[in-house]
Amino acid sequence: MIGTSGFRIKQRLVMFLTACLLIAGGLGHPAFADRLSDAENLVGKLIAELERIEAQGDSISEEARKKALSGLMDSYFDVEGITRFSAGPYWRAASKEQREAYSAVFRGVLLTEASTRFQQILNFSFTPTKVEARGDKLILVTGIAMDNSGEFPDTVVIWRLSAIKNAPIQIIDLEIENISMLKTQQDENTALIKRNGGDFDALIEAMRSRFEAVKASASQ
Amino acid sequence: MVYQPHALKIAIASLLALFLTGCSAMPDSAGKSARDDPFEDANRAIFAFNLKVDDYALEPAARALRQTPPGVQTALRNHVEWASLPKTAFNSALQGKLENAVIATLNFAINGLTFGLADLMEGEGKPEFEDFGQTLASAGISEGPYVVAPLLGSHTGRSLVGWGVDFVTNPYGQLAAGLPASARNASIPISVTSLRATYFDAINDVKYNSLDPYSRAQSAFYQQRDGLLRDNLPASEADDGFESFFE
Repeated sequence: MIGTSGFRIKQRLVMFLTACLLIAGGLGHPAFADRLSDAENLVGKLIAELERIEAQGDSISEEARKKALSGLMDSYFDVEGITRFSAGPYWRAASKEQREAYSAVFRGVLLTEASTRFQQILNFSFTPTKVEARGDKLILVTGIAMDNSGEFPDTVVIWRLSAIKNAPIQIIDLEIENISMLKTQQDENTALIKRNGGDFDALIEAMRSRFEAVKASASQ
Repeated sequence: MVYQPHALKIAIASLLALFLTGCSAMPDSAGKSARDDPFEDANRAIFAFNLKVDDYALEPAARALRQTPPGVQTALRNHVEWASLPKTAFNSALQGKLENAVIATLNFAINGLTFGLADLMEGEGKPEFEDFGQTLASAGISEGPYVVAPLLGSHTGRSLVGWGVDFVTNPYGQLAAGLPASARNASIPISVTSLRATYFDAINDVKYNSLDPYSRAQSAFYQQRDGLLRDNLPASEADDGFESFFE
């Protein structure tokens, strides 16, 4: 049996430990709490922007739509970081020319695919369930994606955002049911370079071919 | 790289362990996959074979199934999920996850009233998927090499052994023994076709739109598997493998 004073000591201990955990977790830091909230808002804003663009339907030209999506990509995504990361460790060994060529073609692939497929994202509604920091540079916004058509079961989705101090928060990855789009792309790219004896140009060429194919299918 | 809904289907498709399933292999400094793929050439050959099977059998069958009313497709999908519940209950019990075992058993029993075709437990607790590969991981058995098995798709050595054990021990197999032979024989093709139809676009996306479908499938498989194993293994200190993003 625990006496009243014993209970109070236990209660204080629990309160103390809870406070320590909150501080250690950064939750007690108002500035970082703001960053978490900003990250969640950024994802919501992106989805709203996509809805706005798609709602215009045929009233805007394909060119204008692509331009709008390109603008979204630059505003909401860390395109430079995504490009760099997607080439894996080979990025460091690549020459300046190779990096520029890869960046150009990779951006093209991103934009063209986004142009044809972003609208399908809108078939899913996203409800955030948790926002958490990983270290001091990464924020994860976790939520449930629900297929509006009912064709697919509810799915756990994680938006991964970079939150570097004094820099804008930007999206770097989307993870769906444990599968990160960016890591998958990186694995595919590094495997391709590796199979070509470490030749970075092989990736650029393959990416270029793919870009042409995606463009061709988008124009059909 | 693709912020697209197809990705959703790609992701889920990797659960199926068909062909295109497939690791968050972070390359090491030499650019070599940190994942163990000593049989890569053989794996690629089997992967190509599996793709051919998909081309000639599964994809056409799945396309046909997609022409049926949505209710039919949903019922088949429910049945496939329902048939895996005894395996989940069995392996949850082996891993000491008794609550999950009970939930899986309840779902199986109640939905069994419709042979799993209708989800009578919709909105209620759903069990976490568990298989014998996860049970082996919980017991500290190492994962082994990456293996692409004919018709079964991506596996690690451990998960492949687990698949075999599940196949033999799945209580559903015993329960289904009383069914007519035609129903038992039709069960696997129907399940596979149903899964292929559900993730039709996702699998086609990996097949037709990847730079290297094999690598993409392998990467997706390992990431998915790591996700399933998260509660079976000690928590990692790793920051999602994204540390190098900020270098």
